Order: sequence, then C-alpha cells, then structure tokens
Amino acid sequence: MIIRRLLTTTLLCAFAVLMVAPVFWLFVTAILPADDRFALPPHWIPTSFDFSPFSRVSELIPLGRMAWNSVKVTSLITVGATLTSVLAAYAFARLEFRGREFFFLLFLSGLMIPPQITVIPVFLLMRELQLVDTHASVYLPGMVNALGIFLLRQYFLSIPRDLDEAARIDGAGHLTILRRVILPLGAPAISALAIYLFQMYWNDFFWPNVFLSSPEKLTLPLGLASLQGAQGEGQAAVVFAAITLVVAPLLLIFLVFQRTLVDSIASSGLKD
Amino acid sequence: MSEVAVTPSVAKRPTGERVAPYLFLSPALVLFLIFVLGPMVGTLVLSLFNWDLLGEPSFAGGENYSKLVSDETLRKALGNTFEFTFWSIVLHVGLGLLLALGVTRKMWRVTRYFLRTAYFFPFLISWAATALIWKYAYDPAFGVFTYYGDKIGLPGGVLVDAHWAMPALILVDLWHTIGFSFVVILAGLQAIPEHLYEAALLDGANAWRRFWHVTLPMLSPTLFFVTVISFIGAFQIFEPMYLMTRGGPDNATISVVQYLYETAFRNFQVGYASAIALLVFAIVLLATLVQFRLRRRWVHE
Amino acid sequence: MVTRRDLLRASGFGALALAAAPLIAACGDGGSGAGSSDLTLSYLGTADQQQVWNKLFAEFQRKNPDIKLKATGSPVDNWAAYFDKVSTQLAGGVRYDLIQVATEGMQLFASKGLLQPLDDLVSKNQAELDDFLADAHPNLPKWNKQYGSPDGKTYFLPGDFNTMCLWFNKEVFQQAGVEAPTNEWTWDDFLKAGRTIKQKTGAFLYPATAEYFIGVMPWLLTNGASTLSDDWKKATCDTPAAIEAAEFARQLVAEKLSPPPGGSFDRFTLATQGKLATFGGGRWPIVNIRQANAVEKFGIVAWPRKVKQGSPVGWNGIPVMKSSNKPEKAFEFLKFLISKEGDAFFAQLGGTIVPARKSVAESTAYLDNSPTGTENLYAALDYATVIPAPAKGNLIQRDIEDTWGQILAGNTKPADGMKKMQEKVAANV
Repeated sequence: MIIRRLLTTTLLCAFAVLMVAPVFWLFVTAILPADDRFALPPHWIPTSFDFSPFSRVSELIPLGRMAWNSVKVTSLITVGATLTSVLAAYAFARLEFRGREFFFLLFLSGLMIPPQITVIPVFLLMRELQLVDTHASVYLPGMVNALGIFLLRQYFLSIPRDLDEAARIDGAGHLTILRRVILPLGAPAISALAIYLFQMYWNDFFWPNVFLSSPEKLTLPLGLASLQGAQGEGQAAVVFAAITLVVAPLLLIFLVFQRTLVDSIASSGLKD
Repeated sequence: MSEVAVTPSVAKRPTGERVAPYLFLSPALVLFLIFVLGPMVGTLVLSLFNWDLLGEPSFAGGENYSKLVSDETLRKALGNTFEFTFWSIVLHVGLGLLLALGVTRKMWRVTRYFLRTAYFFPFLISWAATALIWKYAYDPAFGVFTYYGDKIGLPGGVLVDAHWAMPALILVDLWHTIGFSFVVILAGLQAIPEHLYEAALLDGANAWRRFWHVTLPMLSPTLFFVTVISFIGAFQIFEPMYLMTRGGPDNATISVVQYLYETAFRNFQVGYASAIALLVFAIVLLATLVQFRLRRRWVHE
Repeated sequence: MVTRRDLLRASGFGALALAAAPLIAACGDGGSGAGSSDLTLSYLGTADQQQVWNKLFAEFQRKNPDIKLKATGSPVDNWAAYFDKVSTQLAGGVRYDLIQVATEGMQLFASKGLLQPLDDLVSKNQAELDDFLADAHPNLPKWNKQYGSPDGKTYFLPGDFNTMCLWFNKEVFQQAGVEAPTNEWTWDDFLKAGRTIKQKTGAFLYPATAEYFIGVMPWLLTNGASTLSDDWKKATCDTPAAIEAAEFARQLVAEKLSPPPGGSFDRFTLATQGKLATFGGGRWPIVNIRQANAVEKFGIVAWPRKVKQGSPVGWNGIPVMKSSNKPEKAFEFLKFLISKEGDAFFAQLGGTIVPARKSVAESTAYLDNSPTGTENLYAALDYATVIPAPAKGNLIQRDIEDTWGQILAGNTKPADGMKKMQEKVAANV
C-alpha cells in the first residue's frame, strides 16, 4: 500500500518536473553568463550569473508604463467579465424564464466564431465609436465571456438547491442568495475563471496589436514582441528575461489564489 | 434538455420575479450583442462579398460558399483540425482526470502545493512565449528536448517532419493548456460530498467501484464541461501552427482557422475567409448541440 | 456597386449596436486620432530601432518646426504581422500619410492602388534629388524604377538598404588553422574550410536556414539562379542552377557542417561563443554583436560563390498614401531621409541598415565599431539582385521557405523539392 502510494507520488512529481523544465530552462538561460548559454547538456544549476539581459529589457522598453497598462486593461476585463458571468450564470442556473435555453445557446455560439475574422467588423465598429487606440477598445469586448458564463452555470448547478431554499424561507432576495450562498460556495469556480481571464488577457497579443498604436498605451505582450527583431536580431537572452518578467506576476497571483481555488470548499460546509 | 421545462406558473408570478432573470442577464447580453453577435452578423455580410480589405468590395452572392466545396487546402486543413481536436479532447480529459485524481490522494501538503502549481504553471504563459520556448526546445541541433529525447530514442527535427509535426504540436498544446482542464476537474472532484464515499465504503465497495459509482457520475457535469470547452477551443486552434510551423511542412499542420486567417490577411480574400469562418461556426455549433443531446446519456445532474 | 462605407456600416454592427454606440463612446478614454494637421507615419520598429527612429524624428522636427510629425512604430517582430495591423487599420479607415513598406511590400501596395504618384513632387524638388543621386549607388534608383513603378509612375524614393554577406568568427578559423575567408571564396573553399573546422574544433560551419532573404537567395544568386525571372513574371525555381544550389545547401546539412533546420537557436550568441564559424547577415547583426562586445572577433566578406558573386538586396520604401491630403509635407520628410544630414544622422545612431549614400557608407560614423569588411555590404550593390517580391510575394515566400526547409531537412530530394516549389510559385505570379 505504502509502496504504491510512494510510486504514485513519484510519478506525479516526475511529471511535474517535466512540466516545469522548459520554463525553468528559459529562466536559467536568461541569467547565465553569455558563454554558458545554450550549452548541451544544459546548465540546469547556474554557478555564475549575468543579469544584464534584465537591465537591457528595461533599457529598451518602458516596462513600468507597459506593466501599468496591462494591469489596468487586464483587471478591468477580469472584474467586468467575472461580474457579468456571475450574474448571467445565476440566471441560467437558478431562475426560470422564457427563452432560457435560447439565450444560453446564443451565448455559447459566441465562442464559435474565431476572433481572427471578427476582428475586422469589430475594428470598423470601434472606428465608428471613435475608440480605436484607446484601452476601451481592448477591455470593452473582453467584458463578456461566454466560457465564463458556461463554466459558472455548470458549477452553480452543482450547488445543492436546498441551501438557497433555506435562505429564501428566511426572506432573502436573489441578490442576497447570490451573495450569501452562491458566491462563497462558487468561489473555486469563480477564482478559476478569474485566473483564466487574467492570464488570457494579460498575454493577449493579437487584439491589442490591431487596436493600440500610441507608444504610451501599449501593453506588455506588445513590448515583448518588440524585443524580437524581424531577422532575429533581438538577443534571445533578452527576450527570455522579458518573458520571465511577464510571467512572474501571474505566478504570484496564482499562488495567492490557489487556496481559494481548491481549498475553500473544504471549509464551506458543503462536505458535511 | 432537463432544465428546459418552463413551468406554467411563470406568467403568474409577480412582475419583479419575471423581470429579475432578464436583469441578471442584461449586462452580459448588451455587451454580447454589440461585440460578439454584431460582428458575427458582420462576418455573415462579408461572406457575401468579394473584398480585398483595401479596395472597394463587390457583391459575390453565394460564390464564396460554392468555393468551399472544391478547395483542397481547406479539406486538408479540416482533416488536420479534426485530428488535432480528437487528440486534444482525449488527452485533456484523460490526463486531466488522472492528474486531478492523483493530486487528491493523501500526501504531504507541500508536495500537493508543488504539484498543483507545476501542472497549472504553463497555462500562465502566453502562446507567443510558449511557441518560442518550444521552438528552441525542439531544435534538432541545440534543442533541449531533442538532446534528452535522443537518449530515449525519440526522433529529432520533428517540426519539419510531415509525420511528426502534428504530434509535436499536440504535445505543445497539451503542455500549455492541460493545467486548465486539471484545475477544473480538480475543483469538480473536491465538490463531491464526502458522505457519498463513506456510504459506499459502508457498502463494502472497493476503490474501483467507488470511482465507477460515485466519482465518475458526480464528476460527469465537470467532464462534460471540459469536453465541450476542449472541443470548441481545439477546433479553433491557431497559435501553435501559426507560430511554430506556419502550417508546414507541406500543409501537414495547417488548421482551419490558420487557413482562414491567411486567406484574409495574406491572400486578401476577406469574403472567402468569412465563409470559412461560418463553416467553422456551423461545424462547432452542430457538434456542440450533439454533445448537449448526448449529455443525458452519461451526465448525472 | 456597394461603396465601402455601406459595407462597413452593414458589417460593423447591427441596428442595436448603432443605437448603443453613443453610450459606449462615453465610457471611452476619448479617441486620440492625430489631428488632421499632423503628418502621420506608420513604421515597423523593434524596441532597439524605435529608439533610433525617435531621435531621427526629433531631428526632423527641429529642422521643420512647422510640420508636426506623428510617427507610430509597430513593435512587431515581422513584416507579416506589421502588414496585418496596417491592413486592418486601412480597411477600417485609419489614414496615414506615410507607411513604411519593405521591398517585399512595394508591389503589393502599389497594385492595390493605395499610393500617390510622386512624379510632380520629384520634379519640383529636383535639386535635392540630384544631390542624393550623385552620392547614391546608381543601382538603387535603377532598381527602384524597375520594380517600384509597375505602371511607370514613381511611388517610392530609393533609400537605405540591406544586402547579404558572410559574417565569420576569426578566432574559430585561427583555432582550426584555416585561412580566413576572402571576397574571392568559392563554394568549394567554403566546404573544405568547414570540414577542417568541424574536425579540429567541432564547430558548425554555417547555420542553413529556410528564410527567403537570408537562407535561400544567397545560394541561388551565387549560382546564377533565382526564384523568379528578371521581370518577376515567371517562376524559375527548377532550373539546373537552382537545383544545384539547393543540393549544395542540403549537402552542408547532410555533412553536419550546418545544424539541421527545424527549430530556433540564437545564431549570434552561438557564433560569438565559437560554436558557429560563420553566419549570413546584412547590417542588422551589428546590434547583437556590439551588445556582446564582440565586434573585434568578426569579419565580413562577400558570399562564397559558384559561378558569380551574388546577394539579394531590399530597401526601405516609404510611399505617400493616396488618402494623404498633405503630400508636400510628407515629401519633406522623405527628402530629409535622403538628405546628407538625415542619412548621416541615421548611420551615426547605429541603425540596422546600410546607408544609401556612398559618402555616408564610407564615413567613420558608420564604420566605427563595426567588423572589418563592413564596406562589403555596400560593395554588394555592384552585383546584387533585388529580392523578387511580386504583388503576391507574401504567398510565394511562404511556399519557398516551406519547400526549402524540406530540402534542407532531407525530407525531399533537392530536384523534387525545387520542382514542387516551381509549381507553387508559378501559381502565384
């Protein structure tokens, strides 16, 4: 029994190491001295360091400005889309109304047209609205997320109805039920959604590249791309350093959210 | 669908109750109509025109649609996309479930913490960075993947090999996105009430029967969600092909969305690209509807 | 006929979106479109290059205080992504006065009727142009006319350019006891040196790549072949000379003198470390080599040849858009770029491109802190061939690179591969 458990854990850990290895290699390459980069077998544990790629990144692009733009756009989308998703998902999971099925499928169908083509009509629309080259052209379309609605609806359906019935008998309205029952119990799914949204828009290149052009409005992924030259004249280590800088805050957020993500159910009383 | 039954009492309820659902729906709905549905209709309109993106458009009627039938590259792209989608769903659901089950076993807290982070971590990285890392890793001469892969007999130069390019991209996609399926399934697992397992234990059920009769049925809504989402996402796969192989070698990895993108932005046939987009839409919608229909057979609600 | 405006309206949004539009506009940060009096320029620039361009713009602004220049640098890593962005913007009605277009995009933009003929402005400013032409290599205006004016009108001015030469690490050659390459080197000399270097030091000779400008054209041209005929109207990928060039490139990979293609590596870092003896490049590697403090280690010579000297060439075309309502001001900027001061200023800043004016290309401002033999990049103009890029050049390029990659990897025989390339390219000219 113990041997089997040990074996499983070892397997799981081995797999985890494989998952992390490519990123770890990237990070190590960014801090190795130039002569040791890209050696085979790779240097996994650096013995001497060279942090110049990191300072080169901040010389080349206005890192602070771009980070702020990214934080602004991504936070607005994450908060906005989570909010609209929670409300809509509550309606789909708990309320009865005419056309529920229809509306749900309508939202779902929104996932099925690739953004690579809708970007053209949306650009024309933004032009009419005079929003081209504003952050609004990036965050407004992001504030509705069909996948978020689907994810949360699915999760809310699994929350036992007797809990809201009880609240209802106490005279609670929909908003109260949402706040007291659904939000706490739905926290894992909601935080999964928030992380999903944050990473997606934090990393988005395609959309901002088309809509933003003023240097002071650019987001981090655009800055990242600008470090790689057309003929590959960008130094790989500098690009690697930049990727490290972009990923680090996400990792931090994930580590903070991780508890809500998986542990909150245990304490929510659902498991009694 | 089970929740479709609208009770006859709907009309008799007080106005507040009748309006409430629409109020909850409205913020999402308004944004949706403007930024998703409107452009979708726009795509439909564009598909009826010949337009090179820069000049004046001309009406084409159904011409763009009849072109779909005889387009060899499109057929190739559809084939590739179905292949990619099949493996994507199987691997995401299968491996995601295995990892989630593994992590919920009894183990040291720190180990669990490490495992969860490690599995999810690649999902935090952008496609652009992912493609860059893996192009370095797959390099036949200097790549880390090739270096270690060679020791266990894996082939090198996979990205320029017509047989290996697609599996190589499937692997990259799996590495990048398995974390999300894993976390969703994990959350689903944690939501299964403990007392069901205790009851099963009292009945003398072994581990396999507990999995089959408790875990799987209770998890089925989550697995359904992951399947649907993996399908919708995989069928529109674009980035790994576009960034790593550009659809090559010899169109061995070209995907439908990549093809429509290049049709619009490289070949400047926006009308035809829109027609392809609507084909993608139709296929995904149809498959999703089928999945919802089949749901009753295996999803426990 | 439907006007573009109608289509835009119909496709952009439904009636509902229109009704809601003012409401949403109110939430925006407020548009920042350039005022109609500003001169607008769109260009492609990596972070490095943008810093250089910005200084150039400031200098132009100082000279022309009455013209307000609003330049938008697109920080993307390739011309394709740049064109995606610019095309979408143009389709959406964004107006630029000037758009930077590489040689690769010249016929594309001209063929779409997007450009304004410059003939009147050229004749009005003949003195400044004559000054430039007297100093620039005669081939530049010749090529510019031949390929940049498909209908006989002038849309582009010649400008700064890039050719292909061979960069080599002197130390690797010394270690292997091989004579350093010269401008007279042949393919055979190259191959023999590579074998010795591999044997003595283990370093690769050269990284073969499937990139059109960098990896395909130099081999074709040094064997007297090309992808297209001189007038860019006929595909010529399956001539015996072209097949022979492909066979030679494949041989380098097969003999393991070149790392096999199919991934990415940092060729500049590896060359600096001595793991690569040479690599192909124009002026652009300078940024990296300077960054690594390795300028002294490198030399630049003409590409090794089989039957004749050869190099592709591409230059910086900045056309005036048809939609521009201030072509005179736009032309002032173009004039500044080709003026002695403008060209010298750019060279001195350390751009990734070779100056068009001979006097600047020979100046210390340009040659300082550069590898020995840097002047070979300018000298290549004597024998260079314009990179073939017809209106559908972007499609052709994709097919060429895909097939060449297959040949290098050994997945297809060079002769078969070049036949296939011929079919694909012929379909798009």
